[in-house]
Amino acid sequence: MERNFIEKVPRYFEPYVNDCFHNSYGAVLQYMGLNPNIVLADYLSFMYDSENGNIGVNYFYRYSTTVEFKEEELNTSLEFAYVPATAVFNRESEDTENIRFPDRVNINMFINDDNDTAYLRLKKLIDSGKPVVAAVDLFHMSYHRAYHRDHGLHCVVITGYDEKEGCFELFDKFRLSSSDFEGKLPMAEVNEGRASDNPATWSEDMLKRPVRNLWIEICAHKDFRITDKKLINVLDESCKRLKGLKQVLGKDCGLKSLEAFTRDLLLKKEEELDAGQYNWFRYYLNINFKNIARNRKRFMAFVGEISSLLPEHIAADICGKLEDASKHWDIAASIALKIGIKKSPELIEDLVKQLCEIHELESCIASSLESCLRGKMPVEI
Amino acid sequence: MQKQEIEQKICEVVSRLAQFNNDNIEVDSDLRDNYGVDSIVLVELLVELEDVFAITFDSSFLTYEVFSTVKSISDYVYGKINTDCVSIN
Repeated sequence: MERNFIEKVPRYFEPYVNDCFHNSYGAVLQYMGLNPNIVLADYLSFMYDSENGNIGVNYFYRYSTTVEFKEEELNTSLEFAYVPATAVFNRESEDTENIRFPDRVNINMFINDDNDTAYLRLKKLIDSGKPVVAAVDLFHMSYHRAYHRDHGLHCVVITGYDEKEGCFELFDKFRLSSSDFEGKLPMAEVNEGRASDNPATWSEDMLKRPVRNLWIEICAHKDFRITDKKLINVLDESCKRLKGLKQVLGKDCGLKSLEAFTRDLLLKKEEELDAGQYNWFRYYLNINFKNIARNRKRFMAFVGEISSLLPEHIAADICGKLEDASKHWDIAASIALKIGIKKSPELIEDLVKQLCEIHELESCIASSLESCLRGKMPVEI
Repeated sequence: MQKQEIEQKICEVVSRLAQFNNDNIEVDSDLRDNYGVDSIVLVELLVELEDVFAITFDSSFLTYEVFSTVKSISDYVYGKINTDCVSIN
């Protein structure tokens, strides 16, 4: 009977993290001595697909029925990280260091339907001093308010195991006082969450997103460095995307996409909306406007981190506008929810007002980025 | 309508929608930290209060920064009912 625990893994949480994946990555990155505000900084943009109504920042937000993520979808947003496609873990994966790009932090996602294989790998990682980001279905996690109520893919950080007591040590830090957890949980409970079929309870089509013991191994080459050139590249890429100078995943992005989205919303005001469309406002837009609000806050944190590289007044100006833009995205999220609850298409006009404010602010941000980048690329830094 | 009556009605709705501590709603307590009223529940709460008080919340105020306590909501409702002209600081 073996046991092992890793001490002093930071309980990383910021209200602007993207999701539970980023939250868990942040804890592991800090444990590795890296700054999540830099490594997980994503570009500033906006995407809209008029064919299906999907929106996003650097990829489209959509419900998925799998945890087998594709490489192209995973690598459109981060300058300092590389995320290969989800791989089925095998002996070969165990023997390689899984660092394909030494100039990026490599975030490797593994699955294996055999619970013993997944457990043995977790044990080996803990024994080598690496905290493990593991996915679970919240339905099986007794500390969470979703316990035996709602299903949902979620990430926690496992920091230890004790085979004699039959428990894992883990934490799930979100500062939601009803759902925060750090401590020990029975292995059986966690394993149930890791192997769950994770059905979508809201789906009439019996959709599922099996967890398949998904876990994430984060590693960085010994020569990995945060360079000024790459820091500035985050700004440059954001500027290009905002100004619509490049496509992402074969689609236009930036302010023009925001204009197209706003135009299409206004058209909906004239239509008779059905239940599905109201649900789009209530669930899809509400959640994803909030995701975008958090992206603006994250970008603000990133600009704050690199402010010494920028003219002082420009960094402060960009941060102020990002704060405002984030606030308007949050208000837009609330209006979308209200439209869905009250089935009030007349509120679309209020939503559009918020998007116009956002457009103005983010146009200014793009111009500020452009002016501070002028002459800085590529030789000054 | 008196402010105390408004606060009482709001507390009743908060008590029903709160995730925890439902039986002890205090007007100055932060809704998210003390009762688990997240941004979704907050909008559900405000929508319900629109019916209770026959008012409409200004869309640009639909944020947790503006309505973080029962008191901040009741101040708004009181102003809306009595003057229909509210300024939010």
